[in-house]
Amino acid sequence: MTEPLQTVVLEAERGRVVAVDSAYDTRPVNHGRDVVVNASYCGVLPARFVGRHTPRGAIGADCAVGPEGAGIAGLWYLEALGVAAATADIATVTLGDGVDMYETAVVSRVNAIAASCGVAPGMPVRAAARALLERDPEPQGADDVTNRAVVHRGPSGRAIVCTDSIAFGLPEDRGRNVLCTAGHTGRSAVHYLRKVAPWGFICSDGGGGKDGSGIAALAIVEADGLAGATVDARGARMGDGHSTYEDGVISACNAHAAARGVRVGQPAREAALALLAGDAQEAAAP
Amino acid sequence: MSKTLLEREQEHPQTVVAERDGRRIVVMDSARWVDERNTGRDVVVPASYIGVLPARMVAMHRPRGVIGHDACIGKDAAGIAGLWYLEALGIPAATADGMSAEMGNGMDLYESGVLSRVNYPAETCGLTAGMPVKEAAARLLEVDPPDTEVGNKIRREVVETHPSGRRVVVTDSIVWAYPEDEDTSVLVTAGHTGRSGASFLLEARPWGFICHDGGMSKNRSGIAGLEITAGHGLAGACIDGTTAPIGDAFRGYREGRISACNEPARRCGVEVGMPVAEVAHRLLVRDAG
Repeated sequence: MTEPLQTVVLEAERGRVVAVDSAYDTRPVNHGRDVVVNASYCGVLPARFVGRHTPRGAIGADCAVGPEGAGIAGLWYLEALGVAAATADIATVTLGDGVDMYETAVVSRVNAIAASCGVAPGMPVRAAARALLERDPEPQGADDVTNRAVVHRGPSGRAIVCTDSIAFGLPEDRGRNVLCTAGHTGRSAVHYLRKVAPWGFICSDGGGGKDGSGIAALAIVEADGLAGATVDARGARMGDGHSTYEDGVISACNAHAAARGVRVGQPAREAALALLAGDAQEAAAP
Repeated sequence: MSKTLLEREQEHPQTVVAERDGRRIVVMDSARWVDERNTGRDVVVPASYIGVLPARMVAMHRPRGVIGHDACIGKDAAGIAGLWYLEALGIPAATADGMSAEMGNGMDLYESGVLSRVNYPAETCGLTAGMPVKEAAARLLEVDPPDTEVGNKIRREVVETHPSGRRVVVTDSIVWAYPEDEDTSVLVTAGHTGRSGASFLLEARPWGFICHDGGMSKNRSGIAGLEITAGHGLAGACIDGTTAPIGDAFRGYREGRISACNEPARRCGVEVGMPVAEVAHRLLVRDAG
């Protein structure tokens, strides 16, 4: 059955990819089986209209993300409803033209469910829609979404590891790995930093907070001998360890990190390498 | 695979600061410490950012309400993204301004935090930006959020009237235009002004309109509706996407500036860069025809 205002652009046994000009054109028939490519922004408001029919997946436009992330806030609304969702980069989208979006746009942001179907930024919307149609997301509990990955391995066997929270640290990180995580570095982080005791760490500054509370742990764990730094939350997404590593700029560091060459204003990638190489310096020391 | 620290952790320090009819306000330094004790009865006040990650951990225990920290909002607004996750599950949630409370210090958040952002279930409980966290928590303890169906949040307010009976109406989307808006209302809405927006505008036929520019987009498709509607004699303008969030017409009206307008609007003195409220007024008082 084809609904008015919906153009079926791909059909398979499991469902269809339908292109619509507006998120309001999502229909009950899309429930549980179709991927709805809609040329609306992916804010909370359109997400309510998509979400009430819980399609298999949804792809909207990011509208340049904008103030307060309002162009992509619907990704998180849909994630809570179990709907895999992604946004397309606005520079590649003709707003209000669903078929054009399917044919030419490129993915910019994804929620965790879409990520588990293999959808990633940079992928054409066409390929992303197919992936959402054909692949089932991995069932994931809150604790399962750690996004842990080794992004660099040093000659000593030490590694730079991205993971979304310091609370996702593993026993093998102790005294060995540089962790790039994305929670704030306030006093509640101290307990986790001490328990994980990584070779080095880069967390978020949480936007600063009252009285520098977002970086308070840096000085506290200095006494435990831990080397660490923070990235500016205005430039790196909180809760996304990869963004800390890839987008982050260092906003503060403690004395141990400074001794390894970490500097305020440095890209986090460079700082992570400096923290890792602390190894060599230490070995060279008398 | 070895277990993460979070999975190995047993201790969840919580401080109960108020108790009434089996419900409690519970303060803690981290959202990771929300647990099954809080399910269905407690307003939790954790001094964590309310990103999607902490929201997932809180949501699985379904507390009565959540008040956290906005971490100064930050890149992609990741500091408040969890508000929308919790909203989808019907959980009232709010954040405190990042400079009003210490991160990681639950008692400071409870004692001195001031709200910056609220989700829709929290708004229906009476929470607003500027309210002290303490007062907001007490309200969530007392007031039950109404049952809200997904998709039924309609905000609409008349903000200015004209002796002729015309008025400026602020509502979040053009799809919520009423028949009585035809030739009468200047509608200030917050969806984009692409071709799909234009088709709604032509159906609604308001006296004037202000929508969002949707970040402009490829081939300036976010404002394509301006030309289309001008061809039908509608006067309209767009809100600059860098000045106000898409989807929130109320903030657009208060904080937004104009990035583009069509010829009928230009004829009544509308210019790029003007505040949205001023342009709404100009459209309201413009001469007929």
